[in-house]
Amino acid sequence: MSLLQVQNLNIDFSTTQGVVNVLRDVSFHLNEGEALGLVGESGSGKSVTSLAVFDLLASNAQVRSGQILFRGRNIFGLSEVEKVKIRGSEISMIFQDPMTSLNPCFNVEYQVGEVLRMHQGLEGSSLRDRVIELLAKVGIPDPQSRLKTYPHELSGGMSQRVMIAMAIACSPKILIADEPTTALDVTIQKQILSLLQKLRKETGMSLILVSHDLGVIAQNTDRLLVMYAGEIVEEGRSSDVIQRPLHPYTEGLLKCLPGAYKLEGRQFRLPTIPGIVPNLAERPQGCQLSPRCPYKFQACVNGAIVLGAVGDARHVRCIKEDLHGPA
Amino acid sequence: MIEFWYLFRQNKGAVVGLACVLVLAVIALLAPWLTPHEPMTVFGDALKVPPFWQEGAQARFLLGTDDLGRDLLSRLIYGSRVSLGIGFFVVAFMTFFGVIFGVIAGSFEGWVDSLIMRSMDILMALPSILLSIVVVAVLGPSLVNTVIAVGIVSLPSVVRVVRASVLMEKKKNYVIASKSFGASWFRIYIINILPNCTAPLLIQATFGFSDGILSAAALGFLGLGVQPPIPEWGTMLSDARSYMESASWLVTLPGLCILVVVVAFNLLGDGLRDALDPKVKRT
Repeated sequence: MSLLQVQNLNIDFSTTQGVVNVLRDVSFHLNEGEALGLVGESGSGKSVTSLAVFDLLASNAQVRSGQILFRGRNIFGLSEVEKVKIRGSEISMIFQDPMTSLNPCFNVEYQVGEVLRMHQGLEGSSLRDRVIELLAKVGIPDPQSRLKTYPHELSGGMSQRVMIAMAIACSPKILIADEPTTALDVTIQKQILSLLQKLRKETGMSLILVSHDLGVIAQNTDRLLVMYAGEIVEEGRSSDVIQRPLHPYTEGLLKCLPGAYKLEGRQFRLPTIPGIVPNLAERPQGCQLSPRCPYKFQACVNGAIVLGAVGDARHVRCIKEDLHGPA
Repeated sequence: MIEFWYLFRQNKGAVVGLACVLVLAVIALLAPWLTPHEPMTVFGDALKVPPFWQEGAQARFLLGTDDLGRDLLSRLIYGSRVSLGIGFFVVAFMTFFGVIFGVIAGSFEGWVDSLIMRSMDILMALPSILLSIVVVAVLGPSLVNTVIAVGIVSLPSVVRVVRASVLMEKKKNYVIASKSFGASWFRIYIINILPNCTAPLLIQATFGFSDGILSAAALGFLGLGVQPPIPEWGTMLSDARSYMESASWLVTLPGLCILVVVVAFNLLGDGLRDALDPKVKRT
């Protein structure tokens, strides 16, 4: 039994353009202690998926079908009180922009302490000691003196460390990191990612790392999911997917990584995937990638393409290899 | 804080307003030690004694006496207690209820929001003085009822400000973050969001202070506010109305006091707005 199981999740958003199908039939699972990557372009449904795990979607979102099982219990079926208990203590999340994710009105001690007060009822000096311990754990130098600092006095990297301290305060089972390093510069990015790895090894929690950067995901996860237009298009062990991408979209993403091409004395222009992500209000027929796909067949637009199993723990939503055999 | 003080100091009027408010607060607090006479003591031998710059003034009554022979300076000083007290309690009343309704309206949108906001629209549609007269007519004229009447009339401004700030703040990232850490409704809105709404609330409260004092004085003038012999400036004005020609100081001096207080609070409010509201912040 996996720790977290997302089954056939369909989520709609009501917008001015009508009802938009944002997640289509998303299913995946997360094992205990595993690092799972979620890759995709902006608007591919990564953040919606992670917020859905908390049942914290915007008010115009509607779960049309599917369920999210956490330890066998459906999140959507829980009462508000039970959900509040799980959030922050068993599943917690860190966000894209650490600078705005902290409350500007309160100091670090209060904000980190708040999570502990809510879930563990700590007070007074034991609370303070635990906060200092957590701040030290996420690598904040001289945590004692940082207790009274306010978010505007912290750098982006420091804010993200404080966010991580809040997220791991109650030793959650699952930590969802929604693009934790997008707003930070590259050196800090490396530090934060290795901090997350270190914490995962120490505490044995599972990590869902959401990013648009396939390089980041490949280095930091065991298994990854590639999302496109609200669908999972490829799933597999990170090393397998990177070495031999099966879906044309994953292949395209890999080609876009700087450094994927060795410069042999001459200047290469970084390749891009032609076209843009489809407007989800007017989805293309059949395969969602078909308008942009270099391998497009007639069969791609005739009917919906299913996520098919390929070998060991691999899934791909593409018919290219069925028609042509392995390339 | 330092940045705030720097911005606040840019506005000279605001500094003057703050100084006036502080001086008035000190006068009101120290009233028993500052006044030469008791405010209610009647000097039967000295009716309508003029103030010191007019002929016939008496040294013991610096600003003269009223028609019953009470020392005007003492009454004005005690009047500052009443007026500032009314201002304070009006602000407390409207902030307390305004915050409750505003946060509820802002957090549960939908029909609750509509219900609260339409009620506020109704309150705003009626002329404020008329509405406070109605409230006082129902409750009966007294000091406490004046505060309630004026407080109810000024409620919509606070509710609107709080609701608008809550609606703005609830979309921010830290609110989603706090939800994801398992915060309850109370914790999200009262503990996390409300402190972020203090700046507009503080500005509104300052203006509420001057509005409250003005409305209370108006009610007093109409005989529906604070009842004599309590030395309230508006009531003093109305008592002295019939002597406007024979003893003009009885009308001008309380009027001047009201003017100074209201102008001081409005200047202070303007200054706070300049310093706290990011939209009008000068770069």
